[in-house]
Amino acid sequence: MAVTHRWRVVNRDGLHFRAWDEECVAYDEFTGHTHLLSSFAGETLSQLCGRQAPLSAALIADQLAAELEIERDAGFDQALAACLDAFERLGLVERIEA
Amino acid sequence: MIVADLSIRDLLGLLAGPGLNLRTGQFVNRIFSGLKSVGEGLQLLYADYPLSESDDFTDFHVHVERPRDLRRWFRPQVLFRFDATVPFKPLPLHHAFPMLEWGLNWCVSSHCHQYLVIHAAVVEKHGHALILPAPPGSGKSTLCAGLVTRGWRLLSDELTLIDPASGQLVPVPRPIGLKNASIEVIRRFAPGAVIGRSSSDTMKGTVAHMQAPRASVLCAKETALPGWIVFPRFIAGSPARLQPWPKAHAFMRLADNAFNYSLHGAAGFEALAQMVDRSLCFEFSYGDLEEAAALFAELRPPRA
Repeated sequence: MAVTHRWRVVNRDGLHFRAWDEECVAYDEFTGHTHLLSSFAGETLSQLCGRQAPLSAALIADQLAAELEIERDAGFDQALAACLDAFERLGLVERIEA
Repeated sequence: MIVADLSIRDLLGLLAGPGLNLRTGQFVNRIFSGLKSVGEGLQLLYADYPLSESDDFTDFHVHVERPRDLRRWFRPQVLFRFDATVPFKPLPLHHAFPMLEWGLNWCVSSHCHQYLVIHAAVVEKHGHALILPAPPGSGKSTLCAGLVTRGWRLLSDELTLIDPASGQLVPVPRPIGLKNASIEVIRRFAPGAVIGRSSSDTMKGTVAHMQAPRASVLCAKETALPGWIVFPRFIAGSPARLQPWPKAHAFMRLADNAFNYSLHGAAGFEALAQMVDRSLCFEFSYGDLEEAAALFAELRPPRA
């Protein structure tokens, strides 16, 4: 399927992370909100923060699977898509149309 | 000079005249009141507190006074005033002393934004602070009162002040507010504790304040670093149980219990994260104060 959009963090320089055990918290200077994230969500967000250029969901999935040392499958991609949608609703990431 | 150096007549004279310059930790409060019950409460519960010189900087000018309307005589009431601000509705006159205590807490939590202020009791032992964040009714003040009668130093029973630059916890030791059954619990637990007059039918039920230990007042300028964050919960009949609590969840609960987290922005996030980093985090349920105090006496400090 053709990539129709890519993802990027709205306020890359204003996002602060702290990770403990299996979870992390993220503070967004832009909205003033603090988010409690699972390790999967935290890792996804930090992958996006690490790149200035917008990333496709497929590329994020590849990098994330490598980082977490797990096999990519349909369930993994669905979880990632849900995670990105949730980030978008929270104002943490935005879609950039291809 | 300390409050105990004043006769009750001189104390009442200062309150009714130029004001009593009471130092509580980092803060100087200038208190004005023509009410005898306020003077008596201060004499009993603040006996060891230093008085500041009248030309020292004063943080808070507060008045505890009767209103100037008919309620001065008819079902008499009391007002708390901070400069020209009256932040609370008037209360029955016999609530004057607890109103002063609540007002002084409000002064700090609403104005001292140089600190990150958490609604939490904080005590210290061997250089490690134990932070007890909790909503009202969770047994936080009872636990705090019990611990300070068993060798812990009181920093505060209500307000944990974090210096965002250093991460140090800044003491503001004042009398500990006890409610309802807790008053008798502490009387039995620590028969030597000095507890002031009970005020009944307040918005919190019956309240009374316990004097802070003298050693805590004398060390009111000594800051401490966090060691443990414990979320207490009183459950009648429950054994004392301390369970590790995930740090990320502890962070979120601390932020929820903060008065001014959002005002500090990223610096507040970093200060809170540093506090969680440094601390062991637990959830704690208890039904017996003796058992709780014994458990905290055995608490192992975090590794350096």
